[in-house]
Amino acid sequence: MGLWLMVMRSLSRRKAKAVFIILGLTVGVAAMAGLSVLSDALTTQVNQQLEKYGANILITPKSKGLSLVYEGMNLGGFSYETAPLYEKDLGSLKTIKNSGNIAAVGPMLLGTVRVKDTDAPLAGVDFIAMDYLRPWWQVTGRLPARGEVLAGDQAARVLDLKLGDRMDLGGQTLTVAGVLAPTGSPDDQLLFADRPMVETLLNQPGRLSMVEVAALCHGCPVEEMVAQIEAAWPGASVMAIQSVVKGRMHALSLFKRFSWGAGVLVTVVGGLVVLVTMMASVRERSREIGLWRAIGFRRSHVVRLVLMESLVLSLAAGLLGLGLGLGGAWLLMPLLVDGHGGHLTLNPGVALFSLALSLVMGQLAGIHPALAAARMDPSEALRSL
Amino acid sequence: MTSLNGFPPETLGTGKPDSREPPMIEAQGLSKEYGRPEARVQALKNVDFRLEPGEFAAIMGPSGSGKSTLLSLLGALSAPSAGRVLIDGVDVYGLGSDTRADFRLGRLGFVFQQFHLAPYLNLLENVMLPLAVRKMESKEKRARALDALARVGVDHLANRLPDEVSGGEQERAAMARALVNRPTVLLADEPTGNLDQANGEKVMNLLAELAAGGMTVVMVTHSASSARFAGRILHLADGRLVADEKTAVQPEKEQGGCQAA
Ligand SMILES: Nc1ncnc2c1ncn2[C@@H]1O[C@H](COP(=O)(O)OP(=O)(O)O)[C@@H](O)[C@H]1O
Ligand SMILES: [Mg+2]
Repeated sequence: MGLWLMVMRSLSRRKAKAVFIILGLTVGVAAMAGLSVLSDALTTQVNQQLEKYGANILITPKSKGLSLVYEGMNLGGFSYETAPLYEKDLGSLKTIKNSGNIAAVGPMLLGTVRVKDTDAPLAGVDFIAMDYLRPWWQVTGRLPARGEVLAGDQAARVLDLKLGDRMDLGGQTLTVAGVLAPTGSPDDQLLFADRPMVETLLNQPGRLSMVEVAALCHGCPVEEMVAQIEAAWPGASVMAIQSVVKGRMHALSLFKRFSWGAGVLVTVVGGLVVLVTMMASVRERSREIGLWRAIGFRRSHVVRLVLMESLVLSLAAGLLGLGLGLGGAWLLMPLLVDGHGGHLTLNPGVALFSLALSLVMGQLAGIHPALAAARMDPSEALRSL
Repeated sequence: MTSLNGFPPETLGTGKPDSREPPMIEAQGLSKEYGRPEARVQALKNVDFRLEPGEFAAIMGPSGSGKSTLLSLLGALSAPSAGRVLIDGVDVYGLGSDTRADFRLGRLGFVFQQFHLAPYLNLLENVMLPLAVRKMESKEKRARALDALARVGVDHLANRLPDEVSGGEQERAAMARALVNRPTVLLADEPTGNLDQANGEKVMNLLAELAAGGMTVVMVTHSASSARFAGRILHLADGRLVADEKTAVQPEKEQGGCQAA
């Protein structure tokens, strides 16, 4: 038998107390690991949204003045003070260095048409690309085919359009194939139809009002891509739509910082709890420690025994904390991360760091009780009860 | 009965014919004070005696007379306020803390009144405790511990926890632990205090046997029937050695008049 076996036996006999001693450390490590897993999952999710959903680069004609465009949607009447974009230039997107990062390209032609004696904005789009660029669309009915339109929520109300209604549009009779649920975006005001047909209706063949680009952006340089497109497509004004994403990213980085801070703080407090409880436990065992000294353990042996005990405890705290953190994150994940939750991945660096912090705190907290134990009077063992 | 004075022990004959043999334990002017200067307790006052190798001594005296204190001084556990303790010629309080611990480990064995067995270790592991800080094959440790358990007759209980065996068996395991490092001096504080008559006698016979085998045994006891197993009885009163009685070591026979007045 050696000192390790003594420590393990002693701890296994005092399981409840041991759990109490390591509670604080365990919670700290659990907080660090769990919050880190959660924030990683949230980041991954935001990145996936960046990659998959919605446009994050917008190409519009170079304008001489201020344009009345918000998020790519024309808010009022459409004017041609600027040189339009041409469909044939879309090919230039394929030539840029980061063309591999482009997931979807959504050209759009905007114009106004008269429907039921009202001016209505009409957008010609590629519905296949819209699937990618507007994943949040909820369509009652279906996406339109040739000869059909899709009405934004407000447009449908103002123009009194219902599913299956027919209407005259520039000499053509079109059927309402679908109505959008409200999106809270300018899409609500628009009628959408297949772009080639809209070209004909507006008599703007080969022209584009704007192009939305979805870049696969997990770590890809959006700003660089903007510059690349600007260089490849003269006459185009290119900008990154990042406000929303950046806001979320900022919130996430705050959350990350908060979780680190909280985790480290709780672990440090947990270390203090270990110190106090181990101190009490050492005092409680003064007779046993006296016995060790009496039978010939050196002071350094006693120090070693106490530190070994705190090492085992803090290792247990670390592992238990990692488990609890992962478990907690798994439970909380559906509440915080929408969709199918995303996957739980524990960054090995985070795991190592929190484990190491737990061990370091455990050892630091063990020093004082260990020295106190070593100073104990060996003749304590002879004191009768 | 020999009354002792403050003369150096070298000049103090023990009365034994073999007194020229170097003593195993020598207490020289031992005093011990406890507490702060304003509330001093003089637990021991100028105690002198010597014990030969193989001698079996009992320390007797009323409660609070300093018996445990004397035992802890003899056991290299706490330094005297004045005086010296020589064990086998070694001035134990002249040693540093680590060397003194090593000395206890290698030369001394302790048996405590409450046995002080670790409740989380089985008897075998309890006996191996003093070997935990020794560099030794774990096989050898086991063998030694089993040997010690066998010597006190409880090797069949090696895998039991202390609270799964009787008080007498716990006591013997505690003795096995004291013996596992083959000490030259065995110190016992009320070894029979928690035992019934039959178990007490077994333990006393064992101690007498060990002494007969050459081990120097010092035992604190309240019990006259235990003390009669010892060849020497040191009587303490109020921290002073008031009587030093030698008895013929014949525990089998009924002995009278062991008790000092
Ligand atoms: N650690 C201590 N601190 C203060 N006083 C002590 C301590 N140990 C013993 N004493 C006192 O010293 C005296 C002798 O105690 P002790 O050696 O335990 O006597 P005994 O074992 O004969 O009952 C008693 O008055 C006791 O109260
Ligand atoms: Mg006592």
